[in-house]
Amino acid sequence: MVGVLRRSIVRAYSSQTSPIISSSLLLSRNPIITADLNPFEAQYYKYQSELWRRLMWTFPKWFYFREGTLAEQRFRQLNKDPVSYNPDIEYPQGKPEIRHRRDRRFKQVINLPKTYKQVGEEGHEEESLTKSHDDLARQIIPNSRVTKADESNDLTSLERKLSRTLYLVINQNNNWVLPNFVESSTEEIKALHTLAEDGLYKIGGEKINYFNVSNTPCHLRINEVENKKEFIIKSHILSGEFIPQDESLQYLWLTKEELKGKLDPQYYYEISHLFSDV
Amino acid sequence: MFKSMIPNGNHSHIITNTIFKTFSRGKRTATTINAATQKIVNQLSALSASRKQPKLIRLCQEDLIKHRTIVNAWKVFKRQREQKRTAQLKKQYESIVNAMEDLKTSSPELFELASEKPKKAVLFPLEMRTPTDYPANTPWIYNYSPPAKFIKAKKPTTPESS
Amino acid sequence: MSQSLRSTRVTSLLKNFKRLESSSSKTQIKDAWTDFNFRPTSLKIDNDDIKKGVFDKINEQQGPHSIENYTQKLSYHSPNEIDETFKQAYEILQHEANIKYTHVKGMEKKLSESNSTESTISIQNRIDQLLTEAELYNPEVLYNVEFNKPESLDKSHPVYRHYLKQKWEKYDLMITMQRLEQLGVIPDTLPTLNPKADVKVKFPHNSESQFSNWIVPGEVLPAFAVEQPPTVQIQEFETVNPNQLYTVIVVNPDSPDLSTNSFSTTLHYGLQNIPLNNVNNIIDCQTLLNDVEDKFTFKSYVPLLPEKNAGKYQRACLWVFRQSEPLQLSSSTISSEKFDIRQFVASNNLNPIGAHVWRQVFDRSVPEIRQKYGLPKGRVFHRVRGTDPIIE
Repeated sequence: MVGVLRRSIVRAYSSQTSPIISSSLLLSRNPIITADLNPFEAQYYKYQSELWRRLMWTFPKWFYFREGTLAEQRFRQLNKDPVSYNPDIEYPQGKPEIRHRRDRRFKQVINLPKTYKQVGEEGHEEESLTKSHDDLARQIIPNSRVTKADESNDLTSLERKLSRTLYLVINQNNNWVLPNFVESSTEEIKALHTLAEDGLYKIGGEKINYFNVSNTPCHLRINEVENKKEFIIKSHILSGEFIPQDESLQYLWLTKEELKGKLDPQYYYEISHLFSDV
Repeated sequence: MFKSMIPNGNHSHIITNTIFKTFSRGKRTATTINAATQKIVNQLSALSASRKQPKLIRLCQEDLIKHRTIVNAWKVFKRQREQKRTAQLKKQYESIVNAMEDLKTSSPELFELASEKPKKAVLFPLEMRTPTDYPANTPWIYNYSPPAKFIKAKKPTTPESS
Repeated sequence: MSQSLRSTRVTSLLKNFKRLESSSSKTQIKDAWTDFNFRPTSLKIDNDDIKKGVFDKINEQQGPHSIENYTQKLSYHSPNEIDETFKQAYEILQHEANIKYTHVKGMEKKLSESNSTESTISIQNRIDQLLTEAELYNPEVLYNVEFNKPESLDKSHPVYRHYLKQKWEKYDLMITMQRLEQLGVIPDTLPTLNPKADVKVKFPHNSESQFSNWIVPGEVLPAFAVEQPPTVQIQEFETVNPNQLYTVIVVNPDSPDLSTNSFSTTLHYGLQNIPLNNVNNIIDCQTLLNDVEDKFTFKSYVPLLPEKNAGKYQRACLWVFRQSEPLQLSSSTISSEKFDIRQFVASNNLNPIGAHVWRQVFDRSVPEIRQKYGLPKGRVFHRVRGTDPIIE
């Protein structure tokens, strides 16, 4: 099927009015970290977890810390017993109901003995210097969700906005557009997705781990100015880098909201539904 | 008295013991469970609900209304997000259909290629990551080089370009 | 050709989209739930202390106002984070309400411009629906519905009617329909019923609370308890047309008919052309006292007075109809004996919207009340032994 000669199609497109078929590439970098929570979402989860903690069963301390051991002693030092009930005393805020050293009217806060010294604690500095990276007893500090690229606002970096989907756009005649490729004059016809893939390697180098979602184009945009039919092909970049082969080629990795500001409004409105909100 | 009535022998020794236990009236012996039983008791107590359940939450009228409002807002929030997502998916589907319909008339050959089913099942690549709460030490892998075979297949004219 | 058409369509769409955005931002309503200029005050929590407790943090030193017991009040503890979450939730829901009220404003403008009755009704229904949606999640409305008595709710607002309807459908409607079907009111009187209104009946002349409260459908009542005409409450849940008139009748399908060795239907009470709406929905003695020229009553009330051994029970079936036009019925044209209810409904173009039923048997008070109503002494039926042999 690939071997069909292009001559027959060329004849069909010989008249001036018929537009050129081209394929555009919607290359996305999928989110690396989980989506940022909406403020209400975050607050709702906080509330639910508070309810959940309030309804939690009492921690069976005796099962995890055997009576009389050093660990149990350390645990007792960290967790003070709640105020106990004395029938001779009046409690204006309600009588305490102690079961297994927990006031069952409230959530139970458990502090576990730590294997490291915390920030501000004595000996924290020395410890962080001496403890190696592989030490299991070290304090685990997760990496920041905000990267260097975010701080320097480097729009060409693939490490920016880790929680969002980024899309590749290039500058063409002072317009930011999705990279668009037209079949060069070869004899064989090339499928749209192959055309897009080859075009990408041509402008961005071959060090791109590329995953094509489907052979089927996801959108048709009619470019009246250049008399073109642009079929958009969806794909992901999994690793590697987009290195412009032409020095003058400008490119950006942008989120949906940033695309709205950069792209031509008409152009953005036509293809906005292809971009992910996350 | 009883002892004298029971014949001597290995078996009888056990019987005497049980009899004495039954007849030791008013006398309490400290019951010590052996370590294995104690362990099982301990394990069961960790699982059981006895004396571990918290007090039920009984909301006052004001708080009940607050709670219901929160749940209502959550429902509205989720519904809106779902509706937005559904609308977007619908639009995407329509634009695929539109593109393919157009391709069918403007270039039947390309349409054939675009709607062709791949011979081998297309799997999600192993390099695709599931989002995590915090990024890895190296969030992005830059030093990717495509397999040599792949380059040859793709670009037969410049095999040494990479 | 087709391409240019498509592109122009897209451009016009885009323009429309922009215009919509700008127009909606111009007439946007803000903070609808705190603005009582265009909303009735019945949507407010009456008690200021309770209102404060709902919208602000409950003071731990004072406790919630809704708890009366002093020690319980002080020992109350709210769940953590409830107030912060509530504030955000309120903002989200109020934002939705603002959008709905903006729509309502647009619809009201349309309503004032519309001239055909059909479009007026459809617009009015849409406005009611929007108002319900706008107030459905308002915490103040939720509070009033949950903790105030149903009688004290403002039935002129669609959101309260929506909640009352939900409550009615959950219990009272099911009881009513079960009794109507199991006691054979359907189909002995009318073929079926599509219930639209909550119909409640009571006999307020009774002094015992057992008989003076709202009666449960299907209850067996003694004759003295039904001596005087009943008070009927007809709660409609849709917005009632201001000119809407109602007909109420009470029939007894169990009058013994000796000539056919069967039973016939008797009319015991008939009211016509009663104007009711969502708020004033009670037919009581006040209504009847105002009825000097028999404008409403076409058959004055006669209680069911079963004769001795005349069947197991006699059913008093009360039917409520919506009228399509004013009626001119009079006692002279309608005979209460052998009353054909189906023909009556069909010929007067009535639409049944609700029903109620209670039952009666012969009891000691029957002869006395017969006398009061000037009725002849009741017959006593005996079992008549047939000609068939007793032993087969």
